[in-house]
Amino acid sequence: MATTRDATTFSTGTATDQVIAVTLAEHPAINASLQAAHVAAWEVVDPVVLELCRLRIAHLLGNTAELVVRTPGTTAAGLDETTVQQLPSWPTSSAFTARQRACLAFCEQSLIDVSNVTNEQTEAISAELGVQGLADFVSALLVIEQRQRLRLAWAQLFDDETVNE
Amino acid sequence: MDHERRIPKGVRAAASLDRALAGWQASVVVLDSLDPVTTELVRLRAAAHHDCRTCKSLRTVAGRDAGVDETMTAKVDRFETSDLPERHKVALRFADVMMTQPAHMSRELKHQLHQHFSDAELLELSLDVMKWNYQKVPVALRTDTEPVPGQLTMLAFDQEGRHYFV
Repeated sequence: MATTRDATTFSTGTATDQVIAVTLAEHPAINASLQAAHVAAWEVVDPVVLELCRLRIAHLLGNTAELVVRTPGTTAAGLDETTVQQLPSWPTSSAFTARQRACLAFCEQSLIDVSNVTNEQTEAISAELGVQGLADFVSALLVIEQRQRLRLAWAQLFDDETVNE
Repeated sequence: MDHERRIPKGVRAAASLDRALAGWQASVVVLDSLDPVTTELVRLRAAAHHDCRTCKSLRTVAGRDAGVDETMTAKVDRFETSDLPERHKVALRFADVMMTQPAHMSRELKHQLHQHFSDAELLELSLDVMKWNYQKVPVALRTDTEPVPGQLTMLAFDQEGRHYFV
């Protein structure tokens, strides 16, 4: 598990952080609550698994700015760049563990069509993480997804030049 | 469709994350730049998009008081060919884009959004869509039960943004 993070300073260092901070500058309570959820997400889920999912979401949403950075602590936690490079082919690559596969499979399905997540997909995560781990992962993943969707929408709505950087 | 719970009753995300997510939702729901009709229609669009049984069975008191009735809510599924006002159609188009591919917002939609909504309303609209999208958690875990099975339930929020059923 990741170590405790400071909600006031924790940042993935991405354009997502910048866009959210700028857009919510006049709404500090919302910014703080979103940041608190983000911090909590990284505290309760295996950071390597969550980082792989963050990157996969970025691939699938076309959030290219997210692809060039790594969340602090994930490399130290074991994130391997060779594995990251194989992320688009995770279903057939041997670089991924059973836990990572289970979480990536759920991540993709949930991102695209959550109502068709299958029992097999959630059971695969429970088998790896336990029932509590499943509950933690599903909520943490939502936070990661929400931030990227907000960033992409806001960058276009409010003319942020970093949208496609 | 199998709606058997995928986690036992009482199991929720870790308290720190659960509390933070509740706080995030509450902080968004107290915003009041956007009219309650648009808010309610977008909520129902998200409910349908993710097939959330809980959300589909709810109607907000604020929406009802502002004139949302079942005739209007029935138009959300096929809003493009409905007689809903253009402002509401634009909001629903935006919700669809946010819930699918937000990077692919068309210039036309962007123009429509700025034509019909102020920046403050757009900010709230986007936050609303994501707030309602919390439903992805109960849908994935099959905990999206109807508060009163087979019936609509009225949904309200207190001043701190905490929800309650009427």
